[in-house]
Amino acid sequence: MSLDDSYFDYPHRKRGLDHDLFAMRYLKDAPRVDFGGGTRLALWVTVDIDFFPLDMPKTPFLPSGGLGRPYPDLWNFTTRDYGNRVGIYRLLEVLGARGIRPTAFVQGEAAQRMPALMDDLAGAGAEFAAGGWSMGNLHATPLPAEEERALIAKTREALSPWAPELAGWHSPASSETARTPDLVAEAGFGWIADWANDDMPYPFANGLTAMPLAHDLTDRAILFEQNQTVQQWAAQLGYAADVLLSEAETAGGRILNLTLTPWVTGQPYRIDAVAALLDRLLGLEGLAPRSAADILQSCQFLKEAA
Amino acid sequence: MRRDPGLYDFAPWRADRPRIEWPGGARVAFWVAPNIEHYELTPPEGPVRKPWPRPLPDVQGYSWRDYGNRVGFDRMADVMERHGVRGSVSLNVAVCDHFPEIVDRCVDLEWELFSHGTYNTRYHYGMDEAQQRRLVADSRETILRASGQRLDGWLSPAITNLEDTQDILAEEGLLYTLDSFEFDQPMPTKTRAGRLVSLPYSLEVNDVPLFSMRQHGPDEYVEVVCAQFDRLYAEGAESGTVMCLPLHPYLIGQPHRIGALDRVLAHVTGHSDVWLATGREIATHWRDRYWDAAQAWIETVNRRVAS
Repeated sequence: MSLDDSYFDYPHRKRGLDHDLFAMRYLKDAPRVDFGGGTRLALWVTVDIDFFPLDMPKTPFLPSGGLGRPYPDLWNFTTRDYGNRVGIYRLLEVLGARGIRPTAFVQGEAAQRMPALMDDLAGAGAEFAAGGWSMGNLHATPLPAEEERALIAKTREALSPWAPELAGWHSPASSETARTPDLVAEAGFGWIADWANDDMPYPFANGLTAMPLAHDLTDRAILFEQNQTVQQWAAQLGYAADVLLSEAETAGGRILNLTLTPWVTGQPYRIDAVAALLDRLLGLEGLAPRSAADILQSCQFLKEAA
Repeated sequence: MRRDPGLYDFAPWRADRPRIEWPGGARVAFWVAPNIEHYELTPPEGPVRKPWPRPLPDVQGYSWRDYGNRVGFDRMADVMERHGVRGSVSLNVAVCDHFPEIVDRCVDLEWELFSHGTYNTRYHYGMDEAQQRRLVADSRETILRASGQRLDGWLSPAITNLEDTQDILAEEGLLYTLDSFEFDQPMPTKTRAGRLVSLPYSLEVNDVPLFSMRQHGPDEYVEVVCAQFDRLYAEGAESGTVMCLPLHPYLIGQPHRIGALDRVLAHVTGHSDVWLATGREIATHWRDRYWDAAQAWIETVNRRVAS
């Protein structure tokens, strides 16, 4: 047996990336960012308000935290739902006590089902961003364009009572079809946080800005998927902060994303470690909390690119 | 298929929720739920879930569970007895027939028995309503015969409950269910009839997830469980919380892990404002005093928004 000769065709083999969504940019060449006020490291705290439907499909893939047991998977449904009922309130208390206003990626169905939670997030001063419709509605091939467009539109609509000026988008489970960035831009969003490829914002060709969620450093990745302890998670955020602060000495402002998943870090046995981590981070000279809007405002080069 | 279970409405962990007071002014109602189980050597395959991962007989899996009944149970019960902590047994009721010595010791220790199905190798999956009622009736009769106790609580075997399971439990007169995990205090369950209390069990500080799924060692187990207790103890100053410590003798009763249980129970019983209770006691206390207040508050939370 052997392969067809076409296997040796490399149609995108050229300098730069193998697509034209955005240009290649090495971090060392990224324009300097000045957050002002002596801030070298912006702490971008994000919380995910997700809805995992009881009837969520297991295809085309089961997202992290998805309901993988036979229907009706009350075990996983209620464990995720615990985050939206209990865990988020612990997180908001810990953040609020330290004057931190998180960016809340909210899924449309969560907003629709829990308006009281939306009121409480608004009351806590959260910056709203869209998290897609639900964890059961992935943006993944072969989702038809019209369905994908409708998911984006109804998500925006569901969040609009609390966030009429919604600028940010994060697809459920960071999954995209080939057309997601264009449909998100078409729906009027300004930034997207699905791509895990940079520490700093960068421009898409279609006018969107990519925002850096720290996928590899999230509580979900380290605590839920890798089964590390909360102390190990906190230590790694500390290491990241130290490295980024040190790079910022010469390279200009850096961003540390702290993703808090309510059903993960809102658990009683983890929340005190979250509080201790925040105290440690806030004690670092040059670190200050910043919203997504603050961060983008400081990225002068993006305005020049546009 | 349903989009959500329809078992409860939104309720937030906010300071305005009804204040729960436990007996003696305790901050936290702490209860221990040993899962005393029997996994059959040659169970039927069932329509949805294979009981054993290996071809039958799965000697490794079977004998590991059997260790819990032969060795781990008494070791675990000794530690609990020494700390004056009673158990509320999540019981595969066929254990009453197979190993009455175990059940007798539970009764002697004044532990509660509630049902965790017949065997841990027989699931709700595929049962119709009448068959689920038959399962409940078997549990009710077997527990009554073995202990003189009323069947008050239910944890579906291997947590394999169906859409209508909670309705059936409520109609069959059960006091509490452990099948859902959405709060750190008791909550009302929306069922066709009755007042079925959703009592907090735990899949977070449960020895199966911690040791077998997250692969923590005994020291990490102690750290997690004590941190859980410390936080719920602190929050209980505002409104009484519930902490459940589920155990499985085949795991916690191993010689390398039993010391972890000893350390955890020493930590818990070293605090003054703890109600060392059974599931039945917590659910009864809460249902008799707070069901209506919780219901009214939940309606307020969701009505204010609708208007």
